[in-house]
Amino acid sequence: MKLFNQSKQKAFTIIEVVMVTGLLALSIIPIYQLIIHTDATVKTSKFSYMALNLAREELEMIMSVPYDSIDDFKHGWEQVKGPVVTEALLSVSRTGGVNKATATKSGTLQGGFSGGSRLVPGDAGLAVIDGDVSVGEGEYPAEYQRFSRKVDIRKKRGKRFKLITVSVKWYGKGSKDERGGKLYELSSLIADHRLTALK
Amino acid sequence: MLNRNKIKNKGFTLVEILLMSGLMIGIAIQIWNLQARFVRIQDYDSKLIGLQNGVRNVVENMVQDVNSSIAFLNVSNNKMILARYKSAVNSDFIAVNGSDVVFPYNMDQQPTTILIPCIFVEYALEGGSQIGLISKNGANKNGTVVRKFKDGQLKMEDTGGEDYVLDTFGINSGSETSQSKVMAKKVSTFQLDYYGYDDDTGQLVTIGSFGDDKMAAAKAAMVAAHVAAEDPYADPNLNQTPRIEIYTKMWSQKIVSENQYPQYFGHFDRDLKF
Repeated sequence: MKLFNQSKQKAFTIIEVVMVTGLLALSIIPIYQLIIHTDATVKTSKFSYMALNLAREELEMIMSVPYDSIDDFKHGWEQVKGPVVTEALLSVSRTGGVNKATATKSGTLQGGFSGGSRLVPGDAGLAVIDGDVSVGEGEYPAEYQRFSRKVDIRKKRGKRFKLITVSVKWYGKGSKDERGGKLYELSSLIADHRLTALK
Repeated sequence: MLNRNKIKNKGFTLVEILLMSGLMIGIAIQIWNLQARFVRIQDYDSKLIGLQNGVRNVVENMVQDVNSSIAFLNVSNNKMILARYKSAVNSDFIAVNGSDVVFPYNMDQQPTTILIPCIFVEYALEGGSQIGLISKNGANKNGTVVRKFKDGQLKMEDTGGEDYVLDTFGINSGSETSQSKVMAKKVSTFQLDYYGYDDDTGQLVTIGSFGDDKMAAAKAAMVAAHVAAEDPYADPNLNQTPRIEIYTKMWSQKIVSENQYPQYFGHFDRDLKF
């Protein structure tokens, strides 16, 4: 009992104080991780929304061209950059192949947006967005360079429908080459409205 | 045992106190830095969420409105007015609202006017001019995009142009604005470019190619909308500016159908059934 009382009266050693301080400092780590995770989630939601828009935009664009010209818009993975209204879209005729015009008629876009290059570095020194690319008026913003888009078109045999699938994948910040985990897909059936298709 | 007790009863040495003080100060500084970083990240995130909500609000409503529009009545670069059918389609409803409409249009060499009850929807940038991104020029962060709508009548006229085609669209009459809503704040870019189908080539062309404003509005089928919102920090040393930028195309499905399949779809196909 005497010994026990004696030990109770002992002061903390320096080792104990350092250990307790260290433990307290370590308890911040989960809070830090939580906030970093929240930050990543917010950025993911931003890119998901941009991906959704890219998929919807491409699907609507394909729906706007004549049924016979739809196949011309099939393509593999392509980085999203350049004009929002492409030459391919401007050159297709609403009447499809029959009266397809060869010349492209386009005008000058209005407005004063001058754009510019903006660099968003990725992980390990990889620039996800090419800072040397100058983004002009009427072109996708530089940030869109982190997205790639693919269009798959399949004809449903025996039916007057084509199945269009638009896929969008993108780089998340800090994951330089892991596009596979971030993918958005949108599919739709497009019908040939012409009565001849009912034959 | 005596010696040991003596040692235990000793207080901290000066070296230990200095060491501990240094350690505690170091930890306190780290905690302070972390806390400052947490606040900055949370501030960035909350600003970004706010901007996202605004831009999503604008873009998603615009997509719905443009998809279901039957005519654009204003083709300004920072303002858009479009017409939508007012009510759900009734199969018994006769689309032509005027009893004195003559078919085919302009048959008697007189302009044919048709009035249809519609809802007019307007999107406009207010409180800011057409500008570049804030991070580029550091100005104009108070732009807001406002959506207004009102009931009215769409006036469509055949002025003797192409056969069976209504040449101009306009607002014949309208109620007072029934709703006005701020859709997004901190808007730095709200740029609209319109495209329509050229009658000769059938190709999509910029709306400027049509010349006359009324004709241009009647021909518009697609709008490329560039919407960006930013909320920069007052401290210029913080290089991360919360920003979201959407550049996308929106199509009037009604007008696209009319142009792709003119033999099946006309201006009065309220439900795209023909």
